[in-house]
Amino acid sequence: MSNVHIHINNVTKIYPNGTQALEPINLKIETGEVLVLLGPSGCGKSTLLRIIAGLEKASAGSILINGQDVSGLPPEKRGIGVVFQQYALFPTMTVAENIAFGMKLRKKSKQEQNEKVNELLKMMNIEELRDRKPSQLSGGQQQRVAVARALAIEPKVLLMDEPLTALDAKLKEYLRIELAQLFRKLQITTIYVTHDQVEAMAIADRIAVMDKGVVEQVATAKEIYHHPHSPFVAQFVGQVNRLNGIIRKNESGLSVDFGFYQMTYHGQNELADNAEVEAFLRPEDISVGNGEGFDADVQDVIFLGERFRVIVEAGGKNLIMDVPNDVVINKGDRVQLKVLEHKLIYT
Amino acid sequence: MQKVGKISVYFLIGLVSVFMILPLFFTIIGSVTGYWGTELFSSGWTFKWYKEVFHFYGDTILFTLTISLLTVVINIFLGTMTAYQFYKSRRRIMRIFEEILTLPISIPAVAIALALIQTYALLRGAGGLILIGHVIVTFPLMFRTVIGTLRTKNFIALEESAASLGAGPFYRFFKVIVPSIKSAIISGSMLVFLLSLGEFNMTFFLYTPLTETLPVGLYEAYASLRIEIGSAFTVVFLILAIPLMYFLHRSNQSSTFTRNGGV
Repeated sequence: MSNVHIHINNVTKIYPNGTQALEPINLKIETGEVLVLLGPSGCGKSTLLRIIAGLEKASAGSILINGQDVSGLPPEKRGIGVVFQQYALFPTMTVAENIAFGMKLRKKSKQEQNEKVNELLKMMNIEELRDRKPSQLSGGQQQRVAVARALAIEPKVLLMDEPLTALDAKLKEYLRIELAQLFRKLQITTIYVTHDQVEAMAIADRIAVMDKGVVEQVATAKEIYHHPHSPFVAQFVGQVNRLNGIIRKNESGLSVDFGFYQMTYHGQNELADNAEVEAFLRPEDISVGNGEGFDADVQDVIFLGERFRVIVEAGGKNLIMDVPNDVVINKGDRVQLKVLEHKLIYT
Repeated sequence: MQKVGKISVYFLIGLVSVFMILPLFFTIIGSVTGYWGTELFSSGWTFKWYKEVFHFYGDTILFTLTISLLTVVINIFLGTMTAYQFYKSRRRIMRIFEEILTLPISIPAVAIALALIQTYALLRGAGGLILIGHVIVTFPLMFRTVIGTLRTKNFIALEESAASLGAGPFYRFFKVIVPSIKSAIISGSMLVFLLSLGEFNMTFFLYTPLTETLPVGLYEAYASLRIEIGSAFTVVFLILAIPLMYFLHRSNQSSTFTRNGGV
């Protein structure tokens, strides 16, 4: 387990043309933690990763590794392992030479290099690829070599920039489980960048959701999914129905009128009568009502294997809902639906 | 009908080939004939013209090879490093500089020669001016060949990954980037060598009796000596150039293969 923690203090990035890629960012990554920077393209997540790696300069702020400011150090002096999106394996070197590259620079003996290379090849299940050149490897194999090469220098911190993006869906699914297991085993302080929320949830101890150069929320995957702090986080992580309602005050307290249905208000904010409110509802939090709830017309039914994704229309509003694949539901049906009221998300 | 078309294509290719190769054939014949007169071979075969070439122009051949090799060495460093810096730069102004650097291709060599004489007249004596001129004229070939290859892949990512593993700037350049573009550097070097070897227009204005190059000597041989010596001189020149042209062709083929099967 690596005994390293990282502090990102007010790190800002403004490009010469005036574009602000990062608003001041403050983050603390705990020892042995896997923090995933999650966000859409252009949100600044890769820029932040590159600043931590020393590949780009911050306009302001500092990066502390174990309390030591590394902001002024070039990448080669930071002792940080990086796995790049395109893997960037050295094309003229074999797999073993690629893995030993960093150790050679650290003047490790031939024997030490060999032992470490063998250990990593075994750990990554690529022993048979030892003498191959990168051009003879598949995408998944290159990814494994890139991880092994980064781990070979026994880095203080491991940074991974969308390492699964270039792979096909099936391989991606397999490798993200493999990576998650590897992180748990190695307990190395890791910052992992992705735009894929499923990948983020599978791998992260905590997720930092970013948008337009700002960290919107840092929390565990469950917390982010169930209690997003902003409309952006609610909509970016997982599927969601966006609802606009009006607060109604009555004897029993506050309720929200969404037009097609009225339900008890469970939000944290104190709201006045007739106040407008925005809420988010996950597809799995709508279910078939069996005598209670609201009426809706089924617009479409999409089979997704383990479940159906159903698009319904209620009171002029389109909603998406997920139902188990054993529920009989067809396009054109009129169904009664209910909402798990306490699952409604008010940001 | 299809057969007739095929035959006429082969006939045309044969005709063009003969048309191109015929002067070379007569040059070779001329270099081994006793006397180049109205009746070919009437005076028999001889290799004496080759002996005379090495006797009169041995130093010229040596000087030319030295200049060409030095031009290659200088351009390997200058052309490769400049190309890599241009490749890495994101500044738009570098595009304009890139055009300026490749200008020598489109400027008449005579104009470059005159500009060099005006600027570095003192260097003319020891052949320094010829070397500078050859470097300037051949630089675009190395630069273009290397930058063209660099732009086919993400070499910045290679350099960045080497940096993250602990490699400093020089190690990254010489141990990661250079081996990855080796075939382009070899191709560029051969092009530079061939162009330098055959450069006449500029060198003609820069040479002194002690710093004569092969093409200038060849011109002199044709102009003032016998056509047989000129022919032998041409064959010597071709013996130097043809193997290089063959390797250049081979290296282009292998670099194309590398690009297709690349990382």
